[in-house]
Amino acid sequence: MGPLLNIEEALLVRRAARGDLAAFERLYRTHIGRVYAICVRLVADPVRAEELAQDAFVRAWERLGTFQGHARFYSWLYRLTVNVVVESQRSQGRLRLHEVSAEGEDGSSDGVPDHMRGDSETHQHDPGTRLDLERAIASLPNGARAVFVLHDIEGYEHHEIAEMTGTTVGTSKGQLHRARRLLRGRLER
Amino acid sequence: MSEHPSEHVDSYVDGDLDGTARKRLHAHLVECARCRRDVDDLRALREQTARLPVQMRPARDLWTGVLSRLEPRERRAATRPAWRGPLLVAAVLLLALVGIFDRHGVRLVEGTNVNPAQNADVILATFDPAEREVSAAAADLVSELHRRRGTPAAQAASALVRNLSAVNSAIDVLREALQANPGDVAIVRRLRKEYQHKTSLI
Ligand SMILES: [Zn+2]
Repeated sequence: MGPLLNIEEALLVRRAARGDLAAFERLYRTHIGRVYAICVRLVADPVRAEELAQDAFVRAWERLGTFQGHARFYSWLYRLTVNVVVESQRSQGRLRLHEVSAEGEDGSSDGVPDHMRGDSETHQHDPGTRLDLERAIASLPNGARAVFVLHDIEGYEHHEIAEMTGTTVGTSKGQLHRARRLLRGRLER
Repeated sequence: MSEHPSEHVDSYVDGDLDGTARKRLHAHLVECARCRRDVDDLRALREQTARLPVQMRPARDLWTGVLSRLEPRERRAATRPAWRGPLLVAAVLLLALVGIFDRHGVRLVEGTNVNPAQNADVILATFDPAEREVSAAAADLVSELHRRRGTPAAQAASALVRNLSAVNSAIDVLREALQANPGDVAIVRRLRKEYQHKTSLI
């Protein structure tokens, strides 16, 4: 299914807001890949990421009525997804952005998603592959990983990240700095 | 500025460093090979990160799980906008025609050169049987599905019917889109694709 045209998406959103499940399913099929990628990169756990991606779409369905047409639907949906993940991480005590030293530098459980681990043999001695980078990101401490994913992959600015994660711009910058240095160290190894 | 202002290097690479701070960092970079390497390394990392795919496929289909948790909304009469306006009708028929011509291996240059009014009869005549064909095939499938409920053939047919209804829903949305934005070539292309998809399903 190709990307949706703006107007097509707007109409699907309107239909879904009125209760049209077929329209909502098309929105789901269009955006599940990105929503899942956000979740799996933020939590580094494919099974939890599946649950969170589902939670995000359920919440989107519940809140479609509050969606205002002046934003693009996808940016509304992706932000909502980040909020779902951040809330869940927080409630489980997994996201402490301001306590840099509290999270082990090693990210203790290596947090490498199995679907990335699968063909690790072939990539082990090939630095700079996408898989090495994905693995290195997954191995970051939660706070540093969250900021790295939101800033460097999803393209949010520090003030947006601070707002979404309930921290300060300074903390966000500090975590990004830390994440990038850790990644460089791990990729050079 | 501290000895090696490495947090400023991050902001610099991100283009977030403003006037004075940027000048001071520039001055430092001229002097400091270590920070220059830092800038290069960060840029390389950013490039590598930019190549990561933004979409990832979950290991299983998550839609059923989502669907089971969706609260139905209070039903309102479906407001299906009436399909009117001779130009729009012609445009949609043209699209369908393009799809059908493709199917029969006949080439039709993009609709812009064709005068829909002039060729309306031809368009209608070509379009009707094919639509009938698709509808009849779909109807056959549905009755087949009822007859052989539970068998693998019925499951396959049921998947096909679901796909067909998804395409019809997509076409429906695109028709509404075209009604709102007549003459939008992008919508026309998408409609054409969906019609091709529809005929290819059958
Ligand atoms: Zn320096």
